[in-house]
Amino acid sequence: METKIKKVSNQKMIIDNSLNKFKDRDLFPEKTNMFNEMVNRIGEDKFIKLTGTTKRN
Amino acid sequence: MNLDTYNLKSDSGQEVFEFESIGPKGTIQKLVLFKETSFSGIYNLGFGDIDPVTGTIDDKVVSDNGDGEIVLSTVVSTIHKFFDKHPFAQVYLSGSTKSRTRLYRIAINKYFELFSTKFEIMGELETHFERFTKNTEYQGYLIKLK
Repeated sequence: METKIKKVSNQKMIIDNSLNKFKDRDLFPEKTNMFNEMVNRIGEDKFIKLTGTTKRN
Repeated sequence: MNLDTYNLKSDSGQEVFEFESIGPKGTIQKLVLFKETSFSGIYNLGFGDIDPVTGTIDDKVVSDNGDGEIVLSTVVSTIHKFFDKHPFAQVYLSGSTKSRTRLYRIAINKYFELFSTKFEIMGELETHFERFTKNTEYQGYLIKLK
C-alpha cells in the first residue's frame, strides 16, 4: 500500500492560540534539569558572561 | 536550499509549534516548545509527540514513521520562525536521550552551511562552550542570530 506523505516545500503556518495551554505546564522537566545541570557545570557566572543574560526573578 | 517540511500551527508568540507527522504508522502530533529558562532571553527547546488521549508529551519516543528527514527539517524551520519573533533570544538545544542528541548533532552537521549563514552556534563541552566546529561530539548547543 502506498503511503501518502503530506509534505510541502512552501511551508504554511497558521496561528492557533489554543497552543498557549502548553506554555503553562512544565512539559519537559528533564530538559529543564539538563539545562540547570549544564549551567552548574559551566558555572553560573561564566554562563551569564557568555550569553550576556541576567537571572530572571 | 528548499527543504521538505510539514505545515505548522503556532501560537501568536511563536514559542509553541505543532505539526503532524504522516507515515506508515499513521498521523502523529508533534510539539516543539521554546520555553524561557530562569535566565532572561535564554530558551530551552523541547520536542516530542503529543499523546492524543492524555495530552502529555513524550520526548523519548522513537516514532519511526518513515519521515524522520521531514520531521527534522520541520523542527529546524520552527527555529527560524522562533527567531523571526525573538531576534535577541538564544536557544539551548540538547537531546532528551543520547540518540536524540546524536540526531541533533547529525542535523546540525548536515545543515551547518545553511544554518551558519544566519546563526551563531556554540557547542557545549564538559565545562565550557566553544564556537561550533563540524564533527565534534557536543553535549548541547547554544544558538543565536548573527
